[in-house]
Amino acid sequence: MTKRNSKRKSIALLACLACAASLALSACSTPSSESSALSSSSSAPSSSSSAASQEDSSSQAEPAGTGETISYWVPLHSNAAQVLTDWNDNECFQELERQTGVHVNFIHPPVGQELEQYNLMVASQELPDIISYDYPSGADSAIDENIYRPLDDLMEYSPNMQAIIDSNPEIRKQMTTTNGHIWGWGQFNLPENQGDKGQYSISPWAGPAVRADWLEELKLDAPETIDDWHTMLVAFRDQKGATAPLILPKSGRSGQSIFVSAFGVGAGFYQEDGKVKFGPMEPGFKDYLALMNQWYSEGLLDPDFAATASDSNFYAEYLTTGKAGSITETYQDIVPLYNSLFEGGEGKVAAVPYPVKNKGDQLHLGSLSPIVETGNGRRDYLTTAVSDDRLEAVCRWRDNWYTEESTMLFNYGIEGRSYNMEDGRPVYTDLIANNPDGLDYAVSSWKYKLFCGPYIYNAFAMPDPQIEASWASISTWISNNDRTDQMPPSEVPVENAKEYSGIMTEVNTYQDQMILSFIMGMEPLDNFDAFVEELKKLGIEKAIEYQQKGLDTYNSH
Amino acid sequence: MKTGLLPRLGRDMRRNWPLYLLAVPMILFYLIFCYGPIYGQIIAFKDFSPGLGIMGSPWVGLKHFEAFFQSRTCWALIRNTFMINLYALAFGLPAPIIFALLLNELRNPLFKRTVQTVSYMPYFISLVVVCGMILEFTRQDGVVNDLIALFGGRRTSFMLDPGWFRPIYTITDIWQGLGWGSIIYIAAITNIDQGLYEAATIDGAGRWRKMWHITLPGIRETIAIVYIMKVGQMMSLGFEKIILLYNGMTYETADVISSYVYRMGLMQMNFSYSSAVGLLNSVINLVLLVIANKVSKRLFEVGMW
Amino acid sequence: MKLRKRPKSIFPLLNGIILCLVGALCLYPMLYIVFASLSEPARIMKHTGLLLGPLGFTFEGYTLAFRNPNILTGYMNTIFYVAVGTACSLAVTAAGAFVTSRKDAMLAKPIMLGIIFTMYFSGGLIPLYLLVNNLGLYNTRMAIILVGLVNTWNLIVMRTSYLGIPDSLEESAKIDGASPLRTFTSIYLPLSKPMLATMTLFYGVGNWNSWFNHMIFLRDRAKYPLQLIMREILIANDMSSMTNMNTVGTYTNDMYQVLVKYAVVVIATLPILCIYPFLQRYFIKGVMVGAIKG
Repeated sequence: MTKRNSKRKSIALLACLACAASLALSACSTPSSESSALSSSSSAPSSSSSAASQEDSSSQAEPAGTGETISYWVPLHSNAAQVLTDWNDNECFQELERQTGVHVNFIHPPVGQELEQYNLMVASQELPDIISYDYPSGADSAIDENIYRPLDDLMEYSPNMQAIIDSNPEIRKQMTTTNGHIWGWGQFNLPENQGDKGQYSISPWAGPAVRADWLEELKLDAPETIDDWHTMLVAFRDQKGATAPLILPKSGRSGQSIFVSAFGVGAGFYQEDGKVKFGPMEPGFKDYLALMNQWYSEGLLDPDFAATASDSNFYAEYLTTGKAGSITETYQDIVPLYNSLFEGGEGKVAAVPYPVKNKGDQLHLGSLSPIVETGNGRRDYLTTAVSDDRLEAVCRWRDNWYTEESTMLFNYGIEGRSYNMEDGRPVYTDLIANNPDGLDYAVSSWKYKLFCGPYIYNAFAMPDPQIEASWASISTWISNNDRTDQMPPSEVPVENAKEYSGIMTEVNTYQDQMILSFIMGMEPLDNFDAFVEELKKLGIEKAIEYQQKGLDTYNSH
Repeated sequence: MKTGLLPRLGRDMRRNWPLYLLAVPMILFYLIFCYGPIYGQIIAFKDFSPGLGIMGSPWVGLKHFEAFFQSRTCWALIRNTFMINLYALAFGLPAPIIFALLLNELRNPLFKRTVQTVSYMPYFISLVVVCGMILEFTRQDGVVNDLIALFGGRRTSFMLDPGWFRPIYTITDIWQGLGWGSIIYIAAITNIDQGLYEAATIDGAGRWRKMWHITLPGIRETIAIVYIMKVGQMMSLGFEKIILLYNGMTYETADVISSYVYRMGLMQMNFSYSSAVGLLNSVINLVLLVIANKVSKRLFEVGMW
Repeated sequence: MKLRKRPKSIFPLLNGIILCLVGALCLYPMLYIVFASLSEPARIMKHTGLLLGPLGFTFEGYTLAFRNPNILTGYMNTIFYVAVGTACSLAVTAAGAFVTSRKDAMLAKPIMLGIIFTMYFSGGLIPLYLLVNNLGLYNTRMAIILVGLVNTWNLIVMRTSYLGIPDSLEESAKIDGASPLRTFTSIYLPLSKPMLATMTLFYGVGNWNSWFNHMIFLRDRAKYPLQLIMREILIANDMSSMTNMNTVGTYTNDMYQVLVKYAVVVIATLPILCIYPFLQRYFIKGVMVGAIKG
């Protein structure tokens, strides 16, 4: 007993001491120690703990191409995380390093926690050289607060991007902040790479889809007008036994204004002849609600649409088992997924045009990517951490992304490895098109090319069968929709941003509640005017005014 | 015994210094990692912007507190947070105790161990997965409604009915935490002197009387501590499960302070606002804690301090 | 007499049935996940309702999960964080709880109040991050261990169990002239064995499940624990998460990805489930009483 006790005692004592010592040590150690990851200078190449460079990296006088190291903070796509730990595992960046001699320390936040990590990084003022993430209150605030450095006076080091900006006034507008700065480096969706030459370019990536095999069986044409849709949905309900003929998004309205746009209004902010409007308070929206309310009561919608999880598995289950026959809003890259789920090919989901009120109507609202892509991981910003003597090297390295060779590299990978030229056009090898490790295209293209990112992006740089499938959906969706009323990527002015976001949180909560209540019949449509009044009370008119200011400045650039 | 505070403290230190030495690692931990960063609380009174830093951001006084109280749904948020916690207190607190007591009555050790091990499994399933299951099972064509229809009931969309949100939230919470929550009571029950049961058996006490007069008093302290802690959290509630389960139809009962702040943050990262709301919660929680501790001391002679 | 005997005979049966039901309710979701992880993806996607066994059979989900380079390193890291973290936490918490449970120490109560205060008022994430950074702990495994060293709730539970130990035992030790350390190691620690087992479980499971601190304080993916990797996989297809990085190109035609989610939950959960049966023997009645008397 005593022996056991003394042994236990000494263990406990040891453990306590060890902890006390470690605590004391950690409390005393100075910030300048080696283990402080962020303060290590950028000249230390690829050491696992050195990550971001600091402002005072005075030893960085070497010109580009000779052992320069650039630190680069960029979110990791969830598909990329399946095959890489770091973008240096991507063959394009290995090739780029061979070409330029510049090593990059990639810093990737955990997938799904980007915003938190970003805020901590910025708050601690330990910035890398380049950040691929939008400042929460806009690029102008970031420039005012001395976090991002605009490229205004550095464009001489970015000749390739300058050429792109000069080539298209729309690109110039989108590259310029409200305060007139050039914010950074963008992902360019040039019209010639999109199969579409719209005003802000770009292919719609979302639209409606239906069970094409049912249409055939029921001898129906692909629906165009809302009346066609009604006939079709009733047939699905009565003859195919669908319990939820139409899948409506959880919020009761499509973010891409599908169905809403048939009534001439948008699901959110949109513009008409340069004048900003807010869809849910326009009379057309009442008609939309009336229609959905009618369909809901007729059993044409999923009775639980507002409660269900909005993930693709759920929709796939409904479409392929025959519980549903159509979906309000889906994406061009998911349509093939639905089709792959039918056992023995017994079924087919196909895109149909955006619904209209009267046959032959032209729509002006729908899904649209701007010519300079928005979103995190699509826009790169230069930070103020880059010292003056390194500016040229960093900018020139980054501008190198926009050369013809790099465009091929990012879109297709390395010639002879991931693609070959056949009849003057690049064709993927099996490494991407039919990966030996069984990687899907959307996964393998994070390893052998860059799936997407701030380079000259070619939406159709994909294996042939995918091109066909994508184009089938996209060409259908643009057939009756020019999307000219869609808001361009303008920003609410910095000084109004906080108030705007406060107003919109309240507005969104309230309208989510009311729109669902109208559709599900909990709230009679006679109360629509009261709903609009309440929106006004919550300050929606001010929000519209701020959006208008942003749009006006955007148009003036 | 009317010595001054300082001399008494001095004497205490001289006598107890070996004891205090044992607590040094813990005290250092709290000083460095809990009190060290506490100055950060001031961002509730500032307009924090990551670029300007905590010290550099401008002071705005009580602006964020006012903004919260002026928001349209402020009182509904407070009510919902409080109500869900009240459900948790009324049903979630006794459930693991009852479970532990029932488990304690099992005689077959293998069965007992199996039930115990199995019961804490739900605790380990990620919330994302759990909520996905809840949504699927409560649909009109889901398992729950299939059962109701089997017994001749009417199918309902549970997750679209504001009246059902709190019960479903509480029931699934109890289910997920039942086994895990009971561990602490099971451990406490093992501390009860077996002699007491033997004596009671000789006195002819039945199962219920033993449970009521020996087991329950034996775990009184543990129950009291758990109760005090729960009351001290009446104003806080994690947002993750809420946002995975609610929808526009159930906002009126489901939207709580934290989910609202979360949505606020989505529009624009608003550290100051959430910090102000957090501070407000903390103050209310602390007051509740002090009251609960007082009550517990009077009723059970157990307190946290 | 008859009335008192009847419930006695029915109760064990009733109790058994109730607990069986509870057990089934708790077991089933886990079984569902295991079944789903082994099913054919096309069939599991179409399936609704209860699942009574795998639909078809495939290990592809697990193969795919382990193809992810982060899963294995995640495993090793998690084991490190659990082992080292739990040992350190246990030692510091047990000692701290002992000190704060002393009624004759004047500082015990102020210390406790100071600790409870921190449950309600913390500085928030940014100052803590800056502190860890300035201590030179950023991106070190040490940061994870130290920041999560003491869980106040666990400390309170431990302290409460010490408070329940009869003073008489301690007084006899005092008469023998034992030092506080000796009282702690020879009376309190052995007496609170079930509580120590509970604490091991609480800290162990806490460390196993934690990911937030790791997310904040680690930069190298090579140091990520399993839970963080699992989270990344679980939320990847969730369209309600607002990371617009993932709005395009998230969907693969690779149906087996559906299985990966289930497989990863199984991979990340099974090992920790096995800990409980090991610790359970400390929860068996009588162990403690016997230990004192022996």
